[in-house]
Amino acid sequence: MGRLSYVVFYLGFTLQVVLLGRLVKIKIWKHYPFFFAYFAPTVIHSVSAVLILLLKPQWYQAWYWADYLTSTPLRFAVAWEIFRQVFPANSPARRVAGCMLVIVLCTLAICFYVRPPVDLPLPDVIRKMGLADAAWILVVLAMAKYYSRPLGRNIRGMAFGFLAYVSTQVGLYSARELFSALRPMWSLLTSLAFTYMIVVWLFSLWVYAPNEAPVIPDERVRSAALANWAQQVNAIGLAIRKATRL
Amino acid sequence: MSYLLFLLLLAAGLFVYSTYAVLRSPRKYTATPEAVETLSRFVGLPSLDFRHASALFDPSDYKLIVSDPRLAQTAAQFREDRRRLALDWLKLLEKDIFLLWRFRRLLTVAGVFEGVQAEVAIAGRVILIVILIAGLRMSVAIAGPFAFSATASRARESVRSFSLYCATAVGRMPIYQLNALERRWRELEMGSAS
Repeated sequence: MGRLSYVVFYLGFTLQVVLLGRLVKIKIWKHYPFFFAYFAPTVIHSVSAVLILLLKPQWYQAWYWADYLTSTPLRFAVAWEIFRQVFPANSPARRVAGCMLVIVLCTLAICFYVRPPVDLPLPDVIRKMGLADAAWILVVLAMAKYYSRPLGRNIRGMAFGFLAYVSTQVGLYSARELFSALRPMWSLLTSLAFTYMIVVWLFSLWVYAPNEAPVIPDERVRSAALANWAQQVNAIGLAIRKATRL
Repeated sequence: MSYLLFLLLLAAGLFVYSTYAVLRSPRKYTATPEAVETLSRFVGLPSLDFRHASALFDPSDYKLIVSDPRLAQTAAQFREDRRRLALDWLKLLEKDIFLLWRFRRLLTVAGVFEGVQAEVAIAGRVILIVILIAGLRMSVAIAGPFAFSATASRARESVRSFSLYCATAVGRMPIYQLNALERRWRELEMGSAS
């Protein structure tokens, strides 16, 4: 790691700690448990990274990859949080959005299965996971737009910060194979991408600003309206019958 | 190789999109019709009231005329007239944004204060709109109005959005203060006119 990489890494770490403190202070983590399930381990990861860099720097590389691979699947927790906040359990559009998501992810999985890895298996897995994350977020955003579901400040920042991060992962792991000149700057670029996401999250999650609750049709009101409508139709029918008799 | 290049371009596109979405302000001002009415009592915005502004920048009529070589002179005259009209409208738009900014500053003094950060954001926003309009005026003066239809509608939308923001702010003022505000505003207007 170069000097600049260290600066960016420690900056990202500091911002992570600030964000964690804020999430705990305003108890926002209770509202976004799946997001927190991803974010809390990343803070632990960063603390461990700091300790390893200070105590056993020679272990860092091996530890980094092992930790990265175990934490990458956890990113789906953020994607799930975004989905469940945009389409809560009582939202009528949830089933349609869910079906669309399943179709897109299954299609993507088939494409991944059909296409063999183009290079080393590890970058290929990371790229594919990043693509799946990005596809997930894009589908949720598209469905939210389709159903005119407004995105609150928290979810908006969470989604776009996350999308920016996963797209950098896909881009960087592709660029790494294409341009070998990038390899010395590797740790700097990955730290920058992560820090960028933390900055976006910090701004958007500073205060609790949830999504608007969806408008759910009240069954009682609906049946009352239906009864009223039936009554009106009967009244019209009666009036017509009376008029025709005359 | 081409697959990796495709992924790289896709990722770059997604990154640009997400950064744009993060930076773009999602604020929507919930100015009530009453608040908009109150604002129009103070500030007249002729550039926004002119409904056919987009037609000034629409090249379809010009294309129709210029397609006939016999009407080349008419087309040149038409283009020049449109250029002049577009410049007049842009000047009006610029005047309106300055007027709105002045009114917003008066609201701050009158008690609608949202904090230093908001004040700086307002100033920054107005400066950006003014730069946009100035750039557009210069471009229209040099290259004519027909290539800048999208930019012109964007400039109009920015000013309209700022007027809604001002309407929201004035809507938050207690009704009993509005008369005093109107008096003060008229004084300022007369002061600047003389």
